[in-house]
Amino acid sequence: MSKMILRQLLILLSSLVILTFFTFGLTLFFPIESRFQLLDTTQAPDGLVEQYVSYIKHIITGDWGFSQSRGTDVLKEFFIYFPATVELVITALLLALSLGIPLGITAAQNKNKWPDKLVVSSTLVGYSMPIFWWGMLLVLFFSLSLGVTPVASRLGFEYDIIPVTGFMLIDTLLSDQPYAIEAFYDALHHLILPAIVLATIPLAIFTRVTRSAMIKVLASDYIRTAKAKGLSHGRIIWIHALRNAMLPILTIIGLQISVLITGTLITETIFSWPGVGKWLLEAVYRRDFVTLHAGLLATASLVIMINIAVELMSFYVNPKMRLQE
Amino acid sequence: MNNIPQFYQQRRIPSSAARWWKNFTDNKLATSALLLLSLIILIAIFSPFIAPYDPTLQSADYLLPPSWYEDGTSAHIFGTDALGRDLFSRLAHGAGLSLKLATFVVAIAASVGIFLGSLTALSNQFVDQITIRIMDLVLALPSLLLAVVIVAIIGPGLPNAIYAVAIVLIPHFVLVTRSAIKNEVNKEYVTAMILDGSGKIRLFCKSIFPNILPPLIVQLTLAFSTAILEIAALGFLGLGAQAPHPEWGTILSESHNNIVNAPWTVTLPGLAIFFTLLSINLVGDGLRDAMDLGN
Amino acid sequence: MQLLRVENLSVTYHSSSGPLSIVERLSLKMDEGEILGVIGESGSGKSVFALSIMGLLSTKMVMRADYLNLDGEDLMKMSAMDRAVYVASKAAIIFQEPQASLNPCFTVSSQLDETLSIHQGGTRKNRRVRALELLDSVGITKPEILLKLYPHQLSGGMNQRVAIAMALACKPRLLIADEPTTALDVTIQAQILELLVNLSQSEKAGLMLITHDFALLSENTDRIGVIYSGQLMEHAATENILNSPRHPYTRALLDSVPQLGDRHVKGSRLFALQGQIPAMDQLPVGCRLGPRCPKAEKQCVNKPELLSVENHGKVRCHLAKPSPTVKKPLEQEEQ
Repeated sequence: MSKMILRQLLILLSSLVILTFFTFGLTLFFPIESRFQLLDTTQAPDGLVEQYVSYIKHIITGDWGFSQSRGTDVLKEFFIYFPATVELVITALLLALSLGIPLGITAAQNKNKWPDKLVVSSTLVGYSMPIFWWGMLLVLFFSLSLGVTPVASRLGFEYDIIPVTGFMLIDTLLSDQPYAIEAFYDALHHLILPAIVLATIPLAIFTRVTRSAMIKVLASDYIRTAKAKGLSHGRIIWIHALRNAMLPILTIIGLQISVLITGTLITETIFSWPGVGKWLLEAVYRRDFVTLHAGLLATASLVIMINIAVELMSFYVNPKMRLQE
Repeated sequence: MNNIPQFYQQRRIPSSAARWWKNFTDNKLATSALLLLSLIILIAIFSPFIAPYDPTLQSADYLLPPSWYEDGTSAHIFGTDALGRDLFSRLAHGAGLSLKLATFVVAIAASVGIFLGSLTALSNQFVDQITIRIMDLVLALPSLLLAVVIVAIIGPGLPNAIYAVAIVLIPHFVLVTRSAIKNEVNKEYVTAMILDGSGKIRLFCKSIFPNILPPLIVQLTLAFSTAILEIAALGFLGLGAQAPHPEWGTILSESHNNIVNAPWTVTLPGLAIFFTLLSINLVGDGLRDAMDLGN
Repeated sequence: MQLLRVENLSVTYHSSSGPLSIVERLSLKMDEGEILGVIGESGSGKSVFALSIMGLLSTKMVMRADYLNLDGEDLMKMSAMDRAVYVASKAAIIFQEPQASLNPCFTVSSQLDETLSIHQGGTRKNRRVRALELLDSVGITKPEILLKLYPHQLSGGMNQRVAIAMALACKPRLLIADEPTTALDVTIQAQILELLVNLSQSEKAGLMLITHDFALLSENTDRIGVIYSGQLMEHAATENILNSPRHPYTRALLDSVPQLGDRHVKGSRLFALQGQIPAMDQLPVGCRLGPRCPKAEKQCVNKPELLSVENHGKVRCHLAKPSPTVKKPLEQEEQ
């Protein structure tokens, strides 16, 4: 087991090193003045190797340069915007998982009957949805026609909440203002629509993966054995079958993280959500390469780390993989 | 030995392509999706003849509603946008543009990706592992973010956006090609051919390649829909096709401001993207089932 | 006493191109403690037949029967829920792939314990004692160690022993073994078979042994049923089947078993039946064996019925002489 963890840590480390090669390679195409922020001197060191060493020093010490448009430390700025994005991504992920897994299971149990056909065609619709349009449609319907949800931002401007953790749902509850609870519900209100938009594609994918994994598992001999043993239906589905279907689901969760991050670029733009995605897009418009570099490196490292964590979790779920070493 | 009376019919075994086609056409949903996709492709090809107006021609009839609205006219069946341009003409030209760009993007990504993938699969362990690490890494990067960064470096605009999307799509082709080849190489028919003394190139072209076609075909359709979506997304974010171009994503971002007083300028372009993606995905799904690839 | 009575059991598979009959009007009986061999090629529907008795068919398959009596109760008159509970308490099944029939995510101990808690109850400690007893009875020497392991850590033979132990946990009256030894090494095959036969004798449970290999059936079974393409072709006592098979298919199966040692005639060729079992959507007209049958004649394009043959059993063939009490003697010579 510890050997496995060590191996995953090695993979993590090597991936991060390759990532820095990649981002360093990208900086070579940056304008001179943005590049020099990430190197020691105002003059480029001679060889590429020296340049890379200097670059790595900056990255490790946390000196990722200053925003060219605002003059602030980009790494600090990243962590200001980061919680908003995390809040959105986690909500969307939970939404997609809590709906997708039961839907997939229901479809698998009713394979080729109407509930299955309904679920499969809905996933195809969700999967083909251009989310920038989907977001606009939802705003048009729920916000502009019905007026039940806010159009943009994280919180109504009548509330004044001091950021402590950066997570609005937590900060509103921590607040000692008299309207703290009210503000919490308002924050939740603001979160709903962007989270639905962001969750749409992962929901479709989780449902499909759960369905096909469950269909495969349900046709296996050990499920027949479980049925022949006289186990209850619920126990067969939720314990014997789901445990085995969990592995492909976990793998896909890892892959969906990067899809979710891609989605935040669009969702945060549509809903003026003050997160990393919007921050990065503004950096593109301002041609602020230092910010862009920081955003790419930080999100990519995070995605890599999450993928390793998911890999470790799948070892836990699958005794076969766990005991192989 | 053969003393069995021949008064029973023999069964003819169809070729695999014929079997795929039969399986595909047995699937009603996939077949209708293929028809829809053909229709979209026809509109795209003949858009210069179908479109009644120049897609960039502005007129005084701005924000005219579609013909099925009470105050719509049959002169502009889908109505007009904020600059009085005919929406149907813009969408028809947009179909041509989107499909053309996506085809181009997929062609670049597929040829580079399949070439690299074959090379990796047939090279030694070390090169293989390195390539896999790099490709896994690129896949872990959020695709649109990567495209955005590439566009930021080489500058916004249509050609640059296309290169960005193509680069993002390459790793998928590399991985699919590599794993398909690795799957086949260990099979006995390949061993048999090696024992028969066939050369590496002949082995690859004659025996391995035909067998990795099914996953590649499915990957092609997947890449095609991703390409259309990403190009439109970049257009929507203002990093792809620029303003007067009738690109679907660009049209959507232009009409974002008119969402309240002219909702059709938002719904119609979106429906065009949606139905194109839906039909491609359904056809891809149908092909996957027909060729029995599973998930 | 009668343990199992199946009357006209049919299984229909609803494929995309229409319904296919996988098992057609199959009837047979088993007495308590009897060992019945069911033999047929792969694809003949013998496994589907076993699954249909257990109520384990996939949703695409529909089973119908006039009677399906198991230990005195007609399963066809029960609701699906009652039936599942009743069958689980009376019958157990063992599958071909021992690795696949145990859940890979749980230890042997938790899977055995789960079964025992349903059928026996009692405290955790009692169940553990019983689990150890069961593992001991299937010939496992160090059951304490085995309990902690996962299925993939065991060999095929070990897994099959665990599967048998799990099947015995519900004290079944009927044990169905669907090709229990096919996936195992030859040396293990005999051990597992012997184990099954001995256990069924000591527990006085009926054993239905499903296989494609006559060699497994010849010594152990009381009666044998031969299935081809979803139909029962011949059903008779083992010595009748072995010594004077009346159906050309049974004959062919027997002739295709290689003989070793003294019984082997030098230079003789092994018999092989031409062609392969027909696809279910491409069934021949009349007798389903027709196109492959070395003795086929013109009348074989008519459907043969399963008829009783005197001093033998039941045979589905125009060429077999039915008992005079039934009807129409045939003019053809016997093989």
